[in-house]
Amino acid sequence: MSPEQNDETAPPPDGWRGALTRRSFLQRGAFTTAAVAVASSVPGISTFVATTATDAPAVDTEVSDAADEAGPLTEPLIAHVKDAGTGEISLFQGEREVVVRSPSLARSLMSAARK
Amino acid sequence: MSSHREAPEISKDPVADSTDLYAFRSPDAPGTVTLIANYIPLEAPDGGPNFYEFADDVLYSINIDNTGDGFPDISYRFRFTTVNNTPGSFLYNDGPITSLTPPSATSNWNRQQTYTVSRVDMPWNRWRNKGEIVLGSGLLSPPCNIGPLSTPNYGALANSAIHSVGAGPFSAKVFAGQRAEGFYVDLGAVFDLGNLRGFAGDHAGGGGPGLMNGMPGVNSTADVNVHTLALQVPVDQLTRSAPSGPGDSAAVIGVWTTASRQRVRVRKDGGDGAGDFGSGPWTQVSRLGNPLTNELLIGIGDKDRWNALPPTSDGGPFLEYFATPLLPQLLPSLYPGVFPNLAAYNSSAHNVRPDIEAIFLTGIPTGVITPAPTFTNYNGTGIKADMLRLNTAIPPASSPSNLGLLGLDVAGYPNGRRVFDDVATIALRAVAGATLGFVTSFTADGAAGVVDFGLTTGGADIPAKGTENYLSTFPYLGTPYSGYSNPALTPVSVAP
Repeated sequence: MSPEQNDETAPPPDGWRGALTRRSFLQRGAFTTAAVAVASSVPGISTFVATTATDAPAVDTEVSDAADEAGPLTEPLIAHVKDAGTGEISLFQGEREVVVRSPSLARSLMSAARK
Repeated sequence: MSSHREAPEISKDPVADSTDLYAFRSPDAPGTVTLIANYIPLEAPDGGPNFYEFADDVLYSINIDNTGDGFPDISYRFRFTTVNNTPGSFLYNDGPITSLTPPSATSNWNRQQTYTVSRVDMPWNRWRNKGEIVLGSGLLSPPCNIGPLSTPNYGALANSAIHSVGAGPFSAKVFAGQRAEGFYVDLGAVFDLGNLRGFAGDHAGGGGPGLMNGMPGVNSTADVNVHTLALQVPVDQLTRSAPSGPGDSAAVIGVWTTASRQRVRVRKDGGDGAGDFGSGPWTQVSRLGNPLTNELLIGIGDKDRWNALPPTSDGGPFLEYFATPLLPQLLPSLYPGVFPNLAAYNSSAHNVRPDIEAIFLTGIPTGVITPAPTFTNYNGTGIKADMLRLNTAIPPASSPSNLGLLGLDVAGYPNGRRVFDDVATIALRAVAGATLGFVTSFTADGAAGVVDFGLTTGGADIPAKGTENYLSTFPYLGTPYSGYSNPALTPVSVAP
């Protein structure tokens, strides 16, 4: 089996050297990013994503086929704003992770988290 | 230890901490291979009231590479579900547990686990775990061995937790539950600057107070338990094709175990854990192939990273740890004058250790072990990846040696690993230079062939000191030590 044919032991999209240990994950989360639990409870998020055509989230190409495998809409969704400047956001749902890039969505989430 | 508490972060997460891995041709079941992965280090048998158990939020895997490319071709996965049968009770059990039955509010056993075991085959189009085949679900784990009143006739009780499972073309015998620790080593000696009790007089600190030259070793893992995932699988369900014989690389499988957690876990207010949930892909937090790799070779700053990365990373960022390991450099300093040839080799310009690379990373090609010239467990590609490599075409030994290949028993470690193999001594002798002469011009020091931990009387001593209760049948690791009778300072009237 080649590296790009993945399971939990295969390389992550950003390569082995960038793989996150639990500790580095927490460190990065603490110092450089914001993680926000998002469900339908965050006002305006779904509307924002659906209507902001000029700033539509760019879905990471390596996980773009995850959409058809998404879990039920009732399953909790976690958003991890990795970099507010570039708008890189990881969305976790079920056993999936989708990376989107949207500075305005990142700003909106950060703003919602401060309310 | 083999891999108990071997890295800083995973030592704080014992339910995901792999301790030992075994892979061997089943001596009593021709045509099958037994795979055993142990988790949860150093379980005190009396460690209640919340006795040890697997974690519901950990994905446990036993992986097999049968193509030599360093990636899994087959993965067996275990997922656990835990229930409180009687939430109002503070006890593990309210009465004797005499049989295994599905979770029920009327059960004497309060805290009970069931599990699902599945198989994933990974051709190119099986990305993201599609194609996972459930071999068995709702399988019953046994309770821990509490004592004669709570878990009477424990051996029979645990035997009823051996399940035959299967789906489609795949079948297996499976067990998941507590077992007696089978690995043996003198930890106190290892971690006191390699102060091997039988050779302490030769140590650089020899003659000081407390050193016991000539004393037998202490089995630090005697009388403790572990949690075992065990599978017995037909050989032809593990190899990529039917091998023509022991010299065919198709006979060789590489085995390693991993534990993974989901990227995110959300804890709910209230603290009972009932509303907690995980989210996101599974990310690896523990890895184990060969015994002692992470323990003795990998630097402390890299140990948790090693746990998180796949075997193929061993040919990349971790290769230096295998090519020029630190322990062989230390031995001549710890034991001045005892390893002069090793000291000279270490100081030479070409002091890499191709023998360590072969044992741990590629398997051993045919013709290398001159006393056993036809032996091989080479992966056929030379791709470097730490795995336990088993040549499945080599039958079980009729008169095994716990020194495995060093004892010219080609059915033992590093050809796979059996429960009784003295892997600590084998590894110690290897790093001391006993295997270096097979692959380069080197004459091993005499001490490299005799140094040990003092826990066996020799290669034929299969039930090594403190491990007397190995089983002759699946799951081979012994009946766990009971909480009532262990630690051994309590009256031992009920064995084990």
